[in-house]
Amino acid sequence: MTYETGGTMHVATLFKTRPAPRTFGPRRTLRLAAAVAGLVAAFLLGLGSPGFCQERASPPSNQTAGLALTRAGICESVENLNPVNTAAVFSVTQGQIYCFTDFGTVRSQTVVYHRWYHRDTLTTQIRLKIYPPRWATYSMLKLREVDKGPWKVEITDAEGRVLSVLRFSIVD
Amino acid sequence: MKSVVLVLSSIRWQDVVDILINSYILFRVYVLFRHTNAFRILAGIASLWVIQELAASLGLILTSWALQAITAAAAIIIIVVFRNEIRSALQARNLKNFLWGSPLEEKSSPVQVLADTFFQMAKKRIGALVVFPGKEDLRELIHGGIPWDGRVSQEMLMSIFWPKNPVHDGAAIVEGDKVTEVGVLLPLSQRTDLPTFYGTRHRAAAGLAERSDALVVAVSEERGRVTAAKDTWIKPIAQTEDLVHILEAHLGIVHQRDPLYRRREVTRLAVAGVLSLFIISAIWLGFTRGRDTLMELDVPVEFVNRPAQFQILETSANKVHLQLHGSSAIVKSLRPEQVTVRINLTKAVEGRNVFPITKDNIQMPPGLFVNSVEPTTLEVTLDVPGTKIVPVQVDWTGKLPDNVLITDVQVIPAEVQVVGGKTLLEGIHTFYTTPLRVDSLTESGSITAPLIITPASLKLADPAQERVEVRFSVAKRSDKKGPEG
Repeated sequence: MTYETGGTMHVATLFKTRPAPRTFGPRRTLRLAAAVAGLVAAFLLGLGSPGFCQERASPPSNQTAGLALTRAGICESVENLNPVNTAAVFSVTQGQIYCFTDFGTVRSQTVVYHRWYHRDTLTTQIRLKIYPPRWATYSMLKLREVDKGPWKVEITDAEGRVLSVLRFSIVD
Repeated sequence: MKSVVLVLSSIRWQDVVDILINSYILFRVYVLFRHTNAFRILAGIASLWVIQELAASLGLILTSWALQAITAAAAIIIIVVFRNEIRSALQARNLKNFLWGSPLEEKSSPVQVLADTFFQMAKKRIGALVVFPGKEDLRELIHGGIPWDGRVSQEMLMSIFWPKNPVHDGAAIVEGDKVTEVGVLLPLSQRTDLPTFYGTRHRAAAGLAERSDALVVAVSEERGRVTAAKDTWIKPIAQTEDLVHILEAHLGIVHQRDPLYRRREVTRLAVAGVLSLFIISAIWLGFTRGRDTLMELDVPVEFVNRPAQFQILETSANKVHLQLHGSSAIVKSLRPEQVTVRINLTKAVEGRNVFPITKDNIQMPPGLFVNSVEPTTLEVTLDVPGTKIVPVQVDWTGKLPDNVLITDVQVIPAEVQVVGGKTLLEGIHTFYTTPLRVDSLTESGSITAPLIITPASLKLADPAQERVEVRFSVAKRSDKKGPEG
């Protein structure tokens, strides 16, 4: 299930076609975006390092049956399906931020979720399709003044198992 | 008339008991203290208080103020000055005597036997010294007595003062029909006007007599004379009858034998009893049926009998607003801590419990009544204690410098163990540090920061973890954007 609250979160999972992040409207548009995101994906990135820079928390298992998360991070933008300026603190003036995930091993087509929490309150859950053998995908958060404060993104598989938790803050 | 009936109809059995107990206490105070100087002073103080109240009601500021000061000082002075009298009045030989004893039932000394014995001893040249205490306590004046507690008889007194008896040199104390102590040392008189032939025994008799209200009889072994001493006088007694009269006068036996005196005494006690009842009834009516006054009070709620396996997670209110009413005297004397609201958690279950606040939950002094309670119900959420590992996150704030990128943040420890109610812990996912400013962060480093643990009922398993270390990496932002990690 994919849903959106407040209209600040949008999905764009791309590879090669790399569309600019767009502001999607209501739920119908969101479903369309999710479908597009599922179709357009990245694979065989050739980058082996799973390490990303963000606030470190307890590392949940980043591997479930048939699915291995090799990279995850919150960044300022995604270019050529690569995260740009991965960090732990972002200025609200940045406009938007991205949660980038790269799955090194995908055995079969499945879905993952990006769950965005502001001060432990779930604000948005994004459903992203991923395809074998390897897939990179991301979700985006449009920043508003009220979004300042501590955030976390939980990356979970189709069964809700937490693959990784990324923690960061939005400041002035 | 109607209001009198109304008051009478509202009297409870507890009120009747209340009045009777206090009337009896007042009556007993009168019985125990009458004929003492302390009682007369007490009556004087009571009169002063009445006058002071009168002066206050008339608006005589200086008079009422001065009388108030005098009354307060006099109350302290009376205790200090008359401490011996008060002590002897309150000293009961037994509890029954203290609570029920009547002055008319006091055991009288066998005066005739005593007088005869003294003259017999004089005849036989047996020296003797016998003390008949009055109302005052003699313990601070006499020393070295040996308890005796023997019934008075000629033979016993003779044997006590028999020259070869080890205690014959001291004085014997006779109370009622008993010799209570023997071998007692009395204070010697310092008077210079006593006849030179008076020896130590006579000086001791005069010494105690002038320091107390006791009567002391001395028998001289050299001259074979009986001498009596009381207050400041000391005189030889020639006839047995004279000594009997002196003893009877001292012990009040003359009056006790007189039927007219007894009748007068019974009447006096009856009047005192009725007066006590009247005074206490008046005070009670003034106290409990005075002007009805309203009072508002915020009372903290006490939760009692909490089942051991639960802890209180949340309450809808910690204080209850009470509106009470009662007589102005009771309301005025009320202290807030005398009113309590108590919720019994014996039957409480895990989760949310709703308790109505009724009169049974409110404890307050008698004479007060509840007008209203706000809130009328109280919600208490109980929980089972548990622990949870909670991750820690930094709460950054401020303005991030334009050319700076905080690329990595590490919190040490990354997780803390917290103890609290299980239901409460279910809703806890992250603990945050106090807000840390990013404005001045230009290079990598570390900061220590306290954790915000809310709600307050939660406690860290290790209190040392209340502060965490935050390590951060700072990078200069480059214009070139590219892959990282």
